[in-house]
Amino acid sequence: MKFMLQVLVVAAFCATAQAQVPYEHIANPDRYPGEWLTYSRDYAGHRFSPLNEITAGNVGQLKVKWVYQFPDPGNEVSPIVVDNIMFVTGPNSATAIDTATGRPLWSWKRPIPSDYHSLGFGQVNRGAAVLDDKLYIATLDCYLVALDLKSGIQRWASEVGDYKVGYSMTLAPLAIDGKVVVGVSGGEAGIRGLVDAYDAKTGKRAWRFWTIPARDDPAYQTWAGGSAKTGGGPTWVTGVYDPQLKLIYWGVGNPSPDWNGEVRLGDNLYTCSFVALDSETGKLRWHFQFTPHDTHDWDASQVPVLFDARIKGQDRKLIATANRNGFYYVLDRVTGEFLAAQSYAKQTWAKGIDAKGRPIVAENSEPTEKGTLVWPNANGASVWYSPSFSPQTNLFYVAVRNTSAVFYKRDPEYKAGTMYLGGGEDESPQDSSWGEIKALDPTTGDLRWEFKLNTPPWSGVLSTAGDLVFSGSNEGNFYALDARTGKPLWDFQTGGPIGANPISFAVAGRQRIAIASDRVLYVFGL
Amino acid sequence: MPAGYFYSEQDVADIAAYVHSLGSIPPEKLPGDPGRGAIVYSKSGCAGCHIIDGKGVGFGPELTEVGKRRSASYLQKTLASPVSTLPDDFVFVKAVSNSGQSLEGIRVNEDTFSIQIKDDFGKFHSLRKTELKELQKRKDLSPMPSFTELLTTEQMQDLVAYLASLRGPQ
Repeated sequence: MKFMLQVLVVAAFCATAQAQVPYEHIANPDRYPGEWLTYSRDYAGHRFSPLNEITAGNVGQLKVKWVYQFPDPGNEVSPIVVDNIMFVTGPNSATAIDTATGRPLWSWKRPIPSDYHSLGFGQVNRGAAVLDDKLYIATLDCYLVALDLKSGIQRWASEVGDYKVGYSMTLAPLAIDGKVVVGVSGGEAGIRGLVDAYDAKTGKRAWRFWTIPARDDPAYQTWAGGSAKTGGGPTWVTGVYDPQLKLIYWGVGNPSPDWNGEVRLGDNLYTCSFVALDSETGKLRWHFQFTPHDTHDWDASQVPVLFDARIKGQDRKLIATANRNGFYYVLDRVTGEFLAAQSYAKQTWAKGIDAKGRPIVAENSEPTEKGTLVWPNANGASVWYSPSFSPQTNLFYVAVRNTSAVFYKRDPEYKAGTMYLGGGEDESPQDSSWGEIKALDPTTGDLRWEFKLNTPPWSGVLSTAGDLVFSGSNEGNFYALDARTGKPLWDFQTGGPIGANPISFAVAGRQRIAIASDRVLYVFGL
Repeated sequence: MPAGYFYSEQDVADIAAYVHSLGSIPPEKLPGDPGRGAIVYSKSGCAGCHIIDGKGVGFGPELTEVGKRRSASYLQKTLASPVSTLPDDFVFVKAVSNSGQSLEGIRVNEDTFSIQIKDDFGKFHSLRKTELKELQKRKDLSPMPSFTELLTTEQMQDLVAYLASLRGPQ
């Protein structure tokens, strides 16, 4: 017994002593294939694992290795894995878990203020960030909190926004070289959106980018009548980073109020856009607006995907997204130049995209008093869950939502800390909606294969070097497809709706796949 | 209607209580006789698909409290044209396996990879979609016939009165 205790102590010491994650590790994830060190595993937003033990030939033998039960329902976390320890988060909480057994090692919880209300979203958390000796968590009451990686003890907490006027956070922070970057929720509450960077050691704010422009910014003119002051522009999904260009790419959400555009005439920059920000200063390098003057709540809040490819004989650094508005876009990520777009889901609001990337809006697609039927619905053709890019198959994978809604316009009234919507939507019946996993040519958006789902999904996609694609369904199926053909190879009924992003990591050299399903985290292996 | 993320737990409980109160139909004065209606129910084979107080086969909706949930006019309409009052999520399914076996019934659940069906004996079947060569889903078909031609006007009134009188376990 004494010997066993000594072994455990030594093992624990080794695990904690190694629990340091320098920036160089995160920036070079392929040197650490068994770990998952940032939200999308790499800064490019690929959600691709180089692990290849699990293949089309053996995926049918996947078994549950362990499960972890969360204290709260509806979990959307994408775990972080460092040195055989998995870090999961919930609303204002975090837990470290032994990856061999699923046993918790420490837990941290921050009380949710009694007067806190989620305005337009569920009380969830989508994951943590890690850098050096700290774990970073964004909280519902809008604090960025740094925990000691070894003990879960709080090291600092910095207020990002005032939850009493509608600011909140559900996203995983993005840790880069010396800084931790976050965005905020609040697009249904008329906040002024922002992207913030904080010093990773001290928690002191390094810079702030306002997604709703100040008066001296020419973009302010895209808001008629001073409507920018309640303009929204939330930044509620984790962005990506190009370490060579030192640019952060972040999606910006809807203008407020959501469905009544008459009170905010103009393009409403920088809502429904990607912004490229200098990682040192937060200064805007370029922006691209997917849905000018949005009136359907089509946030550009998807994880951007970075890759390099040759287009028309020229090597380009690219950024791509399957946007919530139903179109897939490819841009030059150095300049923001529009290169290509095409529809990847059923949509009725635009006749197409013009040569500059601006939508050609169809008639009768605006919300009205009587209601207007439009595809897709407010949750869009894709939403916060992650796409995936496999450098091995050179395909862009996305979970697609084909569903419509009747959009209504109402008179909006702004009152700080309450919903500021200007209308609403009636979603179409379940049986007239469907979902798909689609594999697209990343440079054009051309369809390579599709796999139909029973209902529009809420789960992200993971691709692996075993040439597999993993994802989940609302009805609890967690499944694997052939990454080159879309053929279904394996599925498992988890017993709860899946609204989370899968990851892959290794335990003692053996590949594992993890997914949160409602109250349970499943870990599979051969 | 926008999603109600902003409601407190107390708000949700209050709204649920209010909506629940709306679902209770007050007793109506009807022309038919519930006693005779019970005989019509029995002789017309209704218990072959419905359950009242634990008696019958569970293919169709349970009717023990149907009088609290449905008005007489709704019941009359359903008996005359069952298709006209099908719930939004109702689907009548015909499945044919790869080996040629055929099965008809009501969909009770479905996901991307499987479908669960209840047949006319009330028996549940779970089928893998990859093992089916045909899967027809009909939202415009009810296994219940129209009783307009099968019953007299008086019998129909009696049957409606009987169903409307079902307000909980006897």
